[in-house]
Amino acid sequence: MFSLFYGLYKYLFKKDEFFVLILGLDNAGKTTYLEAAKTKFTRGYKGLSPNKITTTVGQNVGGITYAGIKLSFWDLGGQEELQPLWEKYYAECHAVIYMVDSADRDRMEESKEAFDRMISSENLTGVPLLVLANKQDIPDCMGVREVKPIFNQSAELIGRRDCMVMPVSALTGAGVDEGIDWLVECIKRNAEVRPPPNHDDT
Amino acid sequence: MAGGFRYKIWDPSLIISQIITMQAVYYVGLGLWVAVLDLFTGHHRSLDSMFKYQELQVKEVHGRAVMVAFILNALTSSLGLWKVVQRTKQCLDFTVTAHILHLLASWCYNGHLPSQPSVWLLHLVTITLMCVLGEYLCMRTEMQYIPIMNSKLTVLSQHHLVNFTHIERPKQNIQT
Repeated sequence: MFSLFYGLYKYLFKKDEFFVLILGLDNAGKTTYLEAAKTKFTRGYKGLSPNKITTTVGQNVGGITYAGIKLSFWDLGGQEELQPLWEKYYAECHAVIYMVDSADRDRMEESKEAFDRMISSENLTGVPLLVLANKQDIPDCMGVREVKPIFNQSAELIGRRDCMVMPVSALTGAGVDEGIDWLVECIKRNAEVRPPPNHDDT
Repeated sequence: MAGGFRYKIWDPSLIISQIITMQAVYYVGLGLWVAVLDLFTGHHRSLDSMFKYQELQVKEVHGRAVMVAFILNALTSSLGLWKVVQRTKQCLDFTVTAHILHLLASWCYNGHLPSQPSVWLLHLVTITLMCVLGEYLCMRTEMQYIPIMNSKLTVLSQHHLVNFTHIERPKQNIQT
């Protein structure tokens, strides 16, 4: 009887779980952003200090519970050798966050190419997209007004989906809240097209 | 999903039918043991032996016979646990459920909860016996190797390690 009532309790109070990919070139600040998000939304979480964060080989996974749903962030390594691995994750994800290093003007072209390749994938049709111009704390960085037109050139590739460009600073934590708020709204709106996994498992 | 063995994590209909089956096994066993022991002691058979608290006492022969019947019933019910429940970690749950339902039935029969400590003690003993024996039997089955059909090697995989669910052992061994 205990398993009966415990299962009932879990079934009634189950939260939907959604997966969010964090993509971008290496050194864009994806892992730092993940740590900042976890620090903001998890009570009592001691984040990794930013100088301890090294290049990601493989992926980092972090989870937060927010607005009645569970979000699982998959921060994938951005090095060129690891970029072919991104497509393996597209079919299962519910949203994509694309990190751009706004202070690195030389690599902006490279970032745009990776973005184009990513957004043209069929497995990502209709998935909400959040482009974050990171490293806004550096004085000489490109603002949203400069980053947005660069990525707007791929408007046909982006197609019909919720899309937003936002400034953010993963080191200071500025802009993290608004980004995730917007993302959660879009995921919930898109839940019919991309439902949470294990819908009939109780 | 192909196969269909317990792919849902929580299956209320399965649990409820298991509870009903276990209760039936418990009462059939109890009835049989009380009938057998009443045959030896010469006492007239009635439902009182099973449900009335007054029957359970150490002083009279009949009382002792009823206590022995409960203990033996714990042993046979553990066989029921082995065959119906088949999961070691659920044995305690079903044992306590069966005893709670028996307590409720005796409450309705007697009109009050048992006051004698001997009744509580007896049921504690039967819970322990039934649970431990059931777990032992289930664990023995779960620890057996799972034969992989398409190779000569028997992979050292044990039932209870496979994703915390277990694959039912095939009914006959197919020779390759």
